[in-house]
Amino acid sequence: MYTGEVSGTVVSSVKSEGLEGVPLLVVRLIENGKKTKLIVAADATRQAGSGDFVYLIGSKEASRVFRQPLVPADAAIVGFIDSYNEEL
Amino acid sequence: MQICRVVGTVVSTNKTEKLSGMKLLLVRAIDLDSFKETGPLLVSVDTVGAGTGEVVMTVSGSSSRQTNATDGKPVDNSIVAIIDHIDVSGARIFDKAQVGGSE
Repeated sequence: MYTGEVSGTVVSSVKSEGLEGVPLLVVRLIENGKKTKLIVAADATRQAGSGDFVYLIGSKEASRVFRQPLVPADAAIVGFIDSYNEEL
Repeated sequence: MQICRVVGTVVSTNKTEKLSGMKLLLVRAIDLDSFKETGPLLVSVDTVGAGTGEVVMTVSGSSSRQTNATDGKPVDNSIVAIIDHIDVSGARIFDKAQVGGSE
């Protein structure tokens, strides 16, 4: 899993059936505390909004998060981060 | 997922049997900070009827097989959405309706 900050939204009316009703959000990836590139992720929590600090699942597992059988997603927001601490 | 511009088409008659009937398009990733096309040309299977010049969303890896058209097929990149508009940090960085939305 990896972390990111929700930065925007993507709207598409012509899309794969599996993506119907699945919010598509723009997420700024955060690696080792540094902001890197922007990607698009499906929002499995359906509650994420701009500015939320979230964690995501990648690759095929991202499509496993949803109930519908065929969801073409390779990044899915699955939870919110309230705080984190690096022990070492 | 990745936002891409469809920059061309790929025609192949001599190909693995499982790919027959698939529409192959050429896409290039768009960097959402600058909205410039960057990175390599990729061949992507079109599942939503996208055309050259359009801004689309692609899925890579085995998730690209999670559509009716590509289920069980040898595909690792497919176009799964045609983009209407994108907002980042409150600004609209792409709008299909505007001139030049898709050349």
